[in-house]
Amino acid sequence: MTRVPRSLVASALLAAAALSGCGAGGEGAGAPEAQPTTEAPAPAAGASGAPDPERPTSPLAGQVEELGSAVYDPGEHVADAVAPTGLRIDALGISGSAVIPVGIDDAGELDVPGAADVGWYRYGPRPGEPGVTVLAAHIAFDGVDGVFRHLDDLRPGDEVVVALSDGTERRYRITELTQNPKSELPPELWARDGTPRLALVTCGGSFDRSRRSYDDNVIAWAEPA
Amino acid sequence: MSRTLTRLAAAAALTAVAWAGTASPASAQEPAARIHLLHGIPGVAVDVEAGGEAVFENFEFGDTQDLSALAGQTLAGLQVKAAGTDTVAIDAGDVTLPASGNHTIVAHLDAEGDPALAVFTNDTATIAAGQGRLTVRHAAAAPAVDVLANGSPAFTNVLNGDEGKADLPVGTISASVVPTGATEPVVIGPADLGIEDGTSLIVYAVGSLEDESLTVLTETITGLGTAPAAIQTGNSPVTDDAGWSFTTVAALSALAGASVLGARRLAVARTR
Repeated sequence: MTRVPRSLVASALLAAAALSGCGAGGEGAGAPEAQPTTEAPAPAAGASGAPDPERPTSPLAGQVEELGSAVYDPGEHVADAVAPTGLRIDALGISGSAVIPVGIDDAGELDVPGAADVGWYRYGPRPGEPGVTVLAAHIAFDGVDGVFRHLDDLRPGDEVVVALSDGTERRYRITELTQNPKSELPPELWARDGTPRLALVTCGGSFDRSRRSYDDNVIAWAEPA
Repeated sequence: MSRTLTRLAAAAALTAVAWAGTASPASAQEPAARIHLLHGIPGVAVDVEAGGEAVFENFEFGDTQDLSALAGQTLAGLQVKAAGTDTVAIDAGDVTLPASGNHTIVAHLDAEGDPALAVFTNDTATIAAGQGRLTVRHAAAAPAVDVLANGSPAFTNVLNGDEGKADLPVGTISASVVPTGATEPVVIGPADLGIEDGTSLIVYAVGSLEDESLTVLTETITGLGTAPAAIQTGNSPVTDDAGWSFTTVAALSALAGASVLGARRLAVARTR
């Protein structure tokens, strides 16, 4: 089997070639035959990743970032089945509204359920995951007040409890309320990193009777209690 | 040996061409490129030096180095040594990295088991809401393959150095790799792959069929998704209900109290 050693040698060269704009020099010719094994990656006994003290570090080293292993990890691909199922906000008298996973409609807008339910944007973070979990509900729908009719009455410190499909709950505290024109949703609403926050979204501002729509969105932001 | 060197020279030349092709017309000051270097040959570790100084060491199979910050820069006197030794494997000279684009450079084995080099340009086009992108790249010493997703062919006749790509609904798919046109033997997998919203998952089949070292490496690129365009949460005016809210109730109570007081004052005034 001459293939294995050749591969080994060449792979060492390859890493260089990957970085290189020019052809290989003749220097590599001496190294190859010395390691005819596929067993251990490190040819030298003392080489465990520790820098050779006699070898200075390049200023470039600070600009190259090691990202760790790309080796397939099945654990990273296990579906996380935990989803929000219920919402309780004592300060608003919301005692256990159903939370329904929703996507987007044909217009590319959030597919908010009817007046009595809360929609969870299921393509975004789940409760507890980095980023913002988005829960949206109507202020009023087809003449009926919605679950978030009084969302703008929330105040910093108010508690929000989200029930999950595994029977557990997550508790949040309101941090602030914001209001934006409908067409200008804050980009951070769709954040997928950082603190696992919660955003409760409804409509607000003036009701435009001709468009049967409110001018603004009201968002109550919450962080883990 | 000379054959290997020839191949390497060719690979390096190819790389140079690819990079030249992707270099931007020198406008951006900040590096706009994303360049990852992926080690896709099982069983070897190397150190990389520039000008006799260590850039990174003990670069092992499966590891990734982010070279993005060096985009557009020239690395002078680049050398690669077998890890932990002073044995120079290659003297690369001065190397200029591309200034823009999203690339993954993979050192891998070609279909015959010889080392080869692939420079892939990653698709960073926007992905529709509720979908993720799956790219499967054949970088292994193996013949043409089909990639099965949940048992059905998803990408067929994928050759070494090629890729299959699709945007798929979010969820988990079970993927396996078989010789092209067949359903068995399964040479890789089945492996679960999580398709996440707005995320590109790139899977590399690497290793050697003959050496029974076939396996997969994965890479993800996030932030390609489409957020909902708007949130419509009201199509009718609110009713003038007494409210469920304590604050509303309190406000109404206060109002009611004020009305009573006002009425009394009025009554008093009238009696005068």
